[in-house]
Amino acid sequence: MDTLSAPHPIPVPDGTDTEIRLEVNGRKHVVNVEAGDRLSSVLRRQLRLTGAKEGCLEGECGSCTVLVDDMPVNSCLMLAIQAEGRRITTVEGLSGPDGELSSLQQAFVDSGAIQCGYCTPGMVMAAQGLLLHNPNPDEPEIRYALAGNLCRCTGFQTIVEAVKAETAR
Amino acid sequence: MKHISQPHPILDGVEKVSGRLDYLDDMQIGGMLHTKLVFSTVPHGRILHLETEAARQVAGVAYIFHHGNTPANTYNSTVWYEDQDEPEDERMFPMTVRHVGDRVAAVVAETPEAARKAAALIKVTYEELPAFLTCHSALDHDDRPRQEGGMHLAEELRFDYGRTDADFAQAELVVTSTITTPRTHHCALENHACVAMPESDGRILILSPCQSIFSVQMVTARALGVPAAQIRVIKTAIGGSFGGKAEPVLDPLCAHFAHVLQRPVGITLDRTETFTATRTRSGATGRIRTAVSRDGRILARDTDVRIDIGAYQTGGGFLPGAMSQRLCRLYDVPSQRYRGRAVLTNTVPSGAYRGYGSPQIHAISEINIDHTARALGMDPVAFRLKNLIEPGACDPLTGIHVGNARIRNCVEQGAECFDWQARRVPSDPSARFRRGVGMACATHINGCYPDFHEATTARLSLRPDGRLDLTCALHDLGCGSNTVLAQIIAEVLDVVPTDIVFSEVDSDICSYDLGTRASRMTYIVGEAVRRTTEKLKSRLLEIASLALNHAAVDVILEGGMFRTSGDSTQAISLAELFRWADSHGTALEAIESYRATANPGSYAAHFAEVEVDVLTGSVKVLDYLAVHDLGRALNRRLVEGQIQGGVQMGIGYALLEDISIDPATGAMKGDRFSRYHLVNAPQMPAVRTLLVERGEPTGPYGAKAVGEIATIPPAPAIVNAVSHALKRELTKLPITQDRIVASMR
Amino acid sequence: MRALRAPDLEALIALMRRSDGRIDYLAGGTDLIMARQDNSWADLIVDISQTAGLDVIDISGDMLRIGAGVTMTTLTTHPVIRRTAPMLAMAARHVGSVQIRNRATLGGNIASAMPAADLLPVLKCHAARVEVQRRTGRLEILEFDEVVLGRGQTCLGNGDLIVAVRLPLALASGRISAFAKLGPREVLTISRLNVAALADYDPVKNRLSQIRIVAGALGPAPLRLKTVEIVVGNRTVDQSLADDFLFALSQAVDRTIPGRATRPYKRRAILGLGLDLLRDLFVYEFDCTALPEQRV
Ligand SMILES: Cc1cc2nc3c(=O)[nH]c(=O)nc-3n(C[C@H](O)[C@H](O)[C@H](O)COP(=O)(O)OP(=O)(O)OC[C@H]3O[C@@H](n4cnc5c(N)ncnc54)[C@H](O)[C@@H]3O)c2cc1C
Ligand code: FES
Ligand code: FES
Repeated sequence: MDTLSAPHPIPVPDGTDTEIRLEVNGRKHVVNVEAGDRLSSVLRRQLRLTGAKEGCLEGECGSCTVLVDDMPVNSCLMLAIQAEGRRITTVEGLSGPDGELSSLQQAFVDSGAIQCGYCTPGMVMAAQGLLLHNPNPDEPEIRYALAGNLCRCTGFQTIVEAVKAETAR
Repeated sequence: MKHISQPHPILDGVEKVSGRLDYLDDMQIGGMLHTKLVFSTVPHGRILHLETEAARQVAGVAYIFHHGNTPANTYNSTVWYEDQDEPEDERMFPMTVRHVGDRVAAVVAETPEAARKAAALIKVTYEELPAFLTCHSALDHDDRPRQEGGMHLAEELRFDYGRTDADFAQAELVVTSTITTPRTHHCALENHACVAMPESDGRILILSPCQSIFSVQMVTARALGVPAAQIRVIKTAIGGSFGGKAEPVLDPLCAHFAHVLQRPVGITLDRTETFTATRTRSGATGRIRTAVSRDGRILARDTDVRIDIGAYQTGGGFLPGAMSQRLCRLYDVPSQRYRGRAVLTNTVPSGAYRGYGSPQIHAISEINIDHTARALGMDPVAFRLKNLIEPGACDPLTGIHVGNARIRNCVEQGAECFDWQARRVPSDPSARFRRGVGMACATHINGCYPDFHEATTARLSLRPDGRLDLTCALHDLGCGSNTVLAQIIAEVLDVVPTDIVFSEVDSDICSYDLGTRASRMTYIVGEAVRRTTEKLKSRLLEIASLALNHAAVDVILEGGMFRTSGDSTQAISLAELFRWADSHGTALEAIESYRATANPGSYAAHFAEVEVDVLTGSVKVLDYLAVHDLGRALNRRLVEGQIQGGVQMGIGYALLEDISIDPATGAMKGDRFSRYHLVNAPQMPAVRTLLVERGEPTGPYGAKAVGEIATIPPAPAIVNAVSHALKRELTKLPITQDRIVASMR
Repeated sequence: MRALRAPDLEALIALMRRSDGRIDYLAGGTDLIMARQDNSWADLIVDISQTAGLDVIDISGDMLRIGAGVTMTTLTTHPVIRRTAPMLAMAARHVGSVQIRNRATLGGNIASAMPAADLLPVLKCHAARVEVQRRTGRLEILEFDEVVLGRGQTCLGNGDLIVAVRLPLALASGRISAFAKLGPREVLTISRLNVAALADYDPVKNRLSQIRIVAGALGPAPLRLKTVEIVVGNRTVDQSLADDFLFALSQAVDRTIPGRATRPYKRRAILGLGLDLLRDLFVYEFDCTALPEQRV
């Protein structure tokens, strides 16, 4: 998408597609999107990064959580065009080059924080976002930081334990 | 034991946490068409006209399906075995819609956007018919049974044993309660989805996150009017179900579309469609009367439940029976009368939902038990202990034994661990925040026995690499049931759980199994797998003795190696045995069918402490203890996960969750997460668990089920705790802020 | 439909004046993206989420100026806000989830004008003024009540932009404030009721001179509860003040939503919020001696 440059903006020609540049998990991509496409949709359908899920499309479930400049956001409530010029991290970007899990991901596995797994990528990203800004959260802080991520399987306890285990490390 | 009772992490955890596991909506299927469904906006109406012309003009639209061009075969989506005969009142697209959210049409198009755009252009004219949105209005209108041409009474079940009338007449005290439970939704995080595609041999392949591939196959076959053999079903990864994906809702449509268009077709519902157009938990209103003696013995009980099953029969007809059974397996009630009615209303259909009637009937009966204790001036724990059944008791209705039923241990140990006596003190009536403690008991089944189809078949074979292939229609719904089965195999063969390779859950590969339902996974399928593994083990030892040239009695299997006792030099691995057997033309596999012989009860007692803000009606759960008699925990971590998740769902059931049908329009008010609140992390207390592991002789390694029962006692335990805090009797669930505040006036 | 990103305020103003079709300003998107899910976007989407100049936070003289593009997260964490307008930081902390707060903006909260919005009672309580850049080119400094008119209604014409909000700061010490919110859940919950209070208090004399109280989710727009202010203004802070305050709050609900189904609930629930406010204002737990069920 074009960025206006003062004082004479360059309008994008009318039409459906806009070409945008996205930086996702350290890699640069050029994609054609419609102006109204949600970031979650572009990540999932165009970049085939399907870790982020679309559980509600209204900001309530957090299954679409990704980091934008290290801050957790609901990728369903951000247009793809708004992500240009920002650093996006999805769950796929947490694992190492050979697919080895990050220590936080491993803590999720070890603590039994995963059941059906549908909430898990979003949950891990929300937890990652928390730890980036507060490496030593206490339990109420962890629960507050995960309030925007619904899990219907676990009752959250093991998830909280996983985050605690990671802080203790 | 090396593997049983070990907290083995869930087997597919790494795929899930890395985002690599593909759920259906994550898969990329070449050439797939996309579907947008059009739903009824009226609760009851005859479709007079469907205007599809404008929609047809939208670029990319392949076809528009509706009642005029789809099979009119009727079916019942609950069916799971051949010849099962249930009232068939569903069809792909009905001419008369029966609830807001009923299916009217479907646009199938090249892109989701085109489908959506076209669907919005379809105009429907209805002749509106009278809508009955509650059991009350429906039965008022027509209370004849369906079999006699009635409109609303789907099923009625009554029983009466003992001397109910006489016992009531003689009782010193009779306590009556009327309790209402809400309609709720499963809210699995993965929305409902299905993909179907033509196969080269003319069949249709369905990919479905389901609870029973054979149910999908049979229901779809009936809807399409083709033999079941024409339909092949593969289960995909599933993002939660809780009963919501037990009934094939989308599969028949999707299969038909793929068949007509000869292209892969996908349907993915959005969250609101998942709420309004799939299945829900039925709502119930129960009037329950309990007759007791002054010293606290239950003499007789009389229960009358009306169950709102929504617009279609589905499995709603089983609910009166399921509920009645639970009333007979928890307390020793000498005389009992029961009437359960499943009522059709013009609301979203109900279906299986974690506990199948148990959460409703336990809310009704366990809240009444507390009311009764209060009327007697007795402590609720003491009152329960006076009346709970003993191990080995017999269900007075069916004559089935409840097995090693340890509910008394649950209550006794729980009360001690929770420090019940000391905490059950009146709250300060002048305080704004009032504390209370409450508890509730529950029972649930283990499988479908004595129903004839309660059986399963497993095949286990040795692979060339020394690992093992398990072939069985295993529907792990995300709870980790496959992990537990792998632990069972690992235990018998002394291998590691990660050595077990699970076959695809494919109707072409697996023998018939009725799927994950009725708390049968660990208890029935686990036992089938254990027996199959034992059988394979004998076979392996027999062949190993030939390979090692030793008497079979001397050969042992240890750490993946066959050795002869006494001689440590002679040993061969599983992989070597495979090669030996292969070169001798011997197959190394075992198949075993296991048919259940019992249906013991699982039991639980839950204890909760709450703090209620009497001004705002907000409730905070401060402490929670869940005590479970599950025979034996095969994997403690997974068991605790089931319990903690069950408690979360149960707290929501008690305090927040309600799809809430608008009495004026029939539309669902709680049709999205911003209007249907789930308990989130800050709202959840830490849940302590206490397991009573006394062993169930008929279960694998003594195990019984825990997944469903975990969500049954929380709601009555919470309501009882709030009632204790407020010295009020709260009877209408969920006990929302408004209802609590209203009760204070 | 097309989309543009405005790098800075100057370019944005130039654009709004030059273009003639309908414009959708897209800030955090937490309200707008759902409102446009049927693809009803305006001809031009202007992404203002990275617009320099909308993210300012500065103090000049007795005025705190906060750019419309400041996010909830920044409001909760920024030292200047926390020091000079703690109530605003507090209210922002109560908005949505982390994910929402990282995107949702001050300007979006005002422009959406939802009755349950959490920042609005605080802004009104602070007698905030709003800088509105009209599409015609004029910059207007408007009173809060001139901007937020009702449920989803503002003074903004299409293409008009909220640039910043101005809060007058207290010159003397003794300014105290509190914000309380009630929803079905503790976190990630839309307010069923929220109340902001800003007061001048002398802790030595234990005397409250003046107080301003604004409630949200009681009417289409935030409502100043003047009758309550009169009851408690210029008084010694003690239990009798608390009793009168609570009673007046409840009466205010009765007057505001007389026939509503939610009245019986809200007239009582506001007592809870009232007690929370008193606790946060005076760091003292007042008794709840006069529980309504004991009074009547
Ligand atoms: C899950 C969820 C939870 C929420 N919880 C809360 C809550 O607890 N409390 C609460 O108050 N709100 C809540 N909200 C609502 C929302 O987050 C806020 O209203 C937020 O402040 C909107 O800001 P935004 O930047 O996202 O606005 P956008 O969605 O970008 O825009 C909203 C509207 O404002 C207009 N607009 C935005 N900026 C300007 C500007 N500078 N000038 C002119 N017009 C402008 C847009 O054109 C649009 O019409 C919640 C929303 C969600 C999805
Ligand atoms: S899909 Fe984005 S929050 Fe639910
Ligand atoms: S693990 Fe299933 S939703 Fe969280």
